Amino acid sequence: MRLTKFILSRLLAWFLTILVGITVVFFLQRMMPADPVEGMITKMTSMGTTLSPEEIENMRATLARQYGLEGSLFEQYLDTLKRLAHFDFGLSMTNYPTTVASMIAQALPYTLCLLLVTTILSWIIGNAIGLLAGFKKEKWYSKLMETISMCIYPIPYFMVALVIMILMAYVKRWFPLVPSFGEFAFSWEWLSKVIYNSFMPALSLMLVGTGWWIISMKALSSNVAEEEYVNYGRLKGLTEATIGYRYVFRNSILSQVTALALHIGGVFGGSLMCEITFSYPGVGQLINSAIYNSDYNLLTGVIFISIFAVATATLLIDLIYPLIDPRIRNS
Amino acid sequence: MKKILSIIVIAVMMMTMAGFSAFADEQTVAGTPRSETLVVESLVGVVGNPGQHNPWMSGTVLDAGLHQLSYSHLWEMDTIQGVQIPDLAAEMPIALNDDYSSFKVVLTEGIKWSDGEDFDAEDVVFTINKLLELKDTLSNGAQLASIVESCEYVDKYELIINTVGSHPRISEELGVTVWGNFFYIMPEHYWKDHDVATDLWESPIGTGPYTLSAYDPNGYWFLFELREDAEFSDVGVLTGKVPQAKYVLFTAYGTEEKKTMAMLNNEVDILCDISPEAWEVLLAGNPNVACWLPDYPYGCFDDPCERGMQFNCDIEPFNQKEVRWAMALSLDMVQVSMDTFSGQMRVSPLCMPPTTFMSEAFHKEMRQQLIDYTWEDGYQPFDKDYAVKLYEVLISEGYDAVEGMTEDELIDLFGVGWWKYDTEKAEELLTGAGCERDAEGFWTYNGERITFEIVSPAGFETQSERLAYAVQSQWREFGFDVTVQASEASYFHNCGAPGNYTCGSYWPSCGVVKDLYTQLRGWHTDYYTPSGEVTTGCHARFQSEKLDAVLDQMAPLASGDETYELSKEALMIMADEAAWLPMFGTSKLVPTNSTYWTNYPDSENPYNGPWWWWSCFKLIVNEFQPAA
Repeated sequence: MRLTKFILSRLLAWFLTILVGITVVFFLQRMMPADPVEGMITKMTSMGTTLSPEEIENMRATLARQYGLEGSLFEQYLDTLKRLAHFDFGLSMTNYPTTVASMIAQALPYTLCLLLVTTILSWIIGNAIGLLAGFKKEKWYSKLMETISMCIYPIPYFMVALVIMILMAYVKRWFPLVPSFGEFAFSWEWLSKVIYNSFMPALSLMLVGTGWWIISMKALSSNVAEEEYVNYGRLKGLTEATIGYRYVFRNSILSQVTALALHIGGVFGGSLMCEITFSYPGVGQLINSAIYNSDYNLLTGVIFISIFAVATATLLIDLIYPLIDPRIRNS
Repeated sequence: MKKILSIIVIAVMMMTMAGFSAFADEQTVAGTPRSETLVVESLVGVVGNPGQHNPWMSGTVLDAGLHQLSYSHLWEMDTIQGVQIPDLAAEMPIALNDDYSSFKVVLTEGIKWSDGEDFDAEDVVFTINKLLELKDTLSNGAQLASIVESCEYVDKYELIINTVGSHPRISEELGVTVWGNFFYIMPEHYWKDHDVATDLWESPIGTGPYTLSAYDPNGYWFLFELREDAEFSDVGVLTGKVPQAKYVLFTAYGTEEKKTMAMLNNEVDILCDISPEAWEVLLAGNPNVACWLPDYPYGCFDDPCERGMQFNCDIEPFNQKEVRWAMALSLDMVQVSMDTFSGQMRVSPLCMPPTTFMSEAFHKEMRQQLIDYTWEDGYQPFDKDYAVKLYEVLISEGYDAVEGMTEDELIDLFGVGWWKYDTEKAEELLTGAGCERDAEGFWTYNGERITFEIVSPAGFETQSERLAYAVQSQWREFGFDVTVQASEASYFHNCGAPGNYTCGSYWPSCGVVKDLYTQLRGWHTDYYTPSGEVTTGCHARFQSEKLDAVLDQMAPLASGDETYELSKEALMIMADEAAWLPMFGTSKLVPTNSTYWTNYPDSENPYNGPWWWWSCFKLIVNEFQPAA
């Protein structure tokens, strides 16, 4: 009974998070002083095309009809909720009549491949180094690694990205300035292209991402390393490896797992700066384009996926936490 | 474990090297030989729906090559002569009645679609009927329905177009003047069996010399291949020759740093628009790059839109022309030019861009009129010495390339002049308009400090963005509590129509022909709506009975001497009433790279303007030669 109540309360929180998120996104977009119909007309006229007032009037009505912007705001809101309940994100306004779902389906795999791999690798490497730096803080290699991470972490991401690009794509010409992945195919050729074209963005994300995990894990593990039960373990004659793994690592890693889950949830929102700098065709580029062009449907679709992913990751963590931490299980 | 790790590392290295070797073979990103490929920067950036090529759908992106190389129009633009020229049509439309509501259109014979079918009147008639039928579904249809009522097939190469009311400038409305036109012709043999409203047209057919042969599924590049029968394309038939580049690749490079690096590495042949700083880097780093002018100021000033400050004339005190004039006279335009683009711009006091052609037709033609222009109090606001003053500043700052130029040459280069920098007169005008300074020296109106923002682009349209800051700095110095609101595109472009701004760094005056009616008609009071309501006319909310009267006179006339004279009259009225404050023509730094291709148009070889993103690009490509 208590378990059912626990699960239901978490599911309710999950549902409300998504509903509130979508509602905020819907109304916030419409409160913005930007209108996709005007945007489209201005885009045409800013190229120098001259439209007569009559032509503009006719186009305005036709575009509003096409974009689904007819009817009251509340009607549009209900329609949006109804569609989202079926994962129907509608048609992109700037790329009309391409469906938002197909645009997300095209971009999401790139984002997931890049960010999941770099997030997990950064997490593993960062936590391993951070554990060493925290648990064996007197060793020279711990100090060296901590110093390196402290140096890299504060550098703004765009700077790291730019330096990598200048060195590897411009000076050495090892990698292209504009990536080209080609059509998806189950082949080594395609996979090699993906690795080749993703190398620079992945490296930049790893460099910056690893720094954070090192710093946070070092702080956690150095605190845990000074706990009385660690000293007790030593007095009992346990080996340093056993103490490191069973006492320090396992007690430090809990909050890192939570942070990893949230990071993975956040992966669905893409990495805007990285994708723009390296022309990487992911979800971040879609968000950028949607905001730039007031594409309500595209922005709602991408943010819905992101909110859904973060909320679901949080829900899953809430549900599996008791399995990891006996203290929660027993409480 | 070590063994497994080693295998993984070697595998990754091999895969990476496989990619690397493809890159190192002097191939383009699309896999074509670099020496056979003209690589052009795509102005529109990444395309979200790269498989969609139906030009009648509102969301189709055409500027990544289709519009420039594959699709054609009835009438093209000669950007140098400032006149329209026949393309798919064999001659300009012939009016069949006195009220210009019925026209005979004769088509060029011998043009074929890229799939080998003849282009003829059936295609044009089919297009018009189809668009009119779908006027409630397609924005292009809605646009056409406000111009064309019906059409009649006469024979294979002739048709009659009947318009909605009088349309003496039908060729401008259905043909190219600036950039392109919405009226693309449908190949009837394809579209009779397909739905124009829903078919994406993944393998488009065109009358231009190139066909789309491949594209990046992520929308970063589009590859065009020369038609095997290019002699039957519109360019082939019109010029009697075909382009030499086998491939043209449009690529989105993204940020300016990447564009610059790409051109330094000879990965791209043509860039669309870069900042003066990026140009300096290119100039220093690659001996094969060039721009429109061989020396300072390098850029091309012939873009058909001009930049300046537009006030919302609904808002006090800017509803008074005296206040708008004071805003003009409080600006040191030489300094504004230096602060914006290091003087690399051509100034314009008239509401029409100072392109080479338009300058001859209007700015130079009207220069004496501007010099003689006198207010009721005897004041003459025009400063004819602007170019000389800028020259002096440039020389003092070490720009030796302009040294020794005569006054006429300076006027050719930097413009005919602008309004005087006269803060005393500006003070007088403001005081007369009911403004006064407060204790801190800021201007007030009705007891309240005049506080306003200049809406400007943020991160795009660099010239307008920088201009906003240059102007703001001087207005602030003169006592206006003004700031710049740099905004991303969706907000910036949406301020104008509903009048949600006080002052904006815009470009409301565009034009390439001597008859300005098409460009100016939106300034008629008929289209005025108060701020808060969306307007279809000019965003400045400017109203003038005098201008209305001139526009009413022009409306029923076909282009000719009379419309030209009336155009000049309209411009003088707009200047006198400070309809908006035009400042500079658009300055475009459009670099080319002669490592692989040569014979780009430039100031010494101006066979066309450097408009890579216009539909006339197909004619420009036709002149390129492979480098030895």
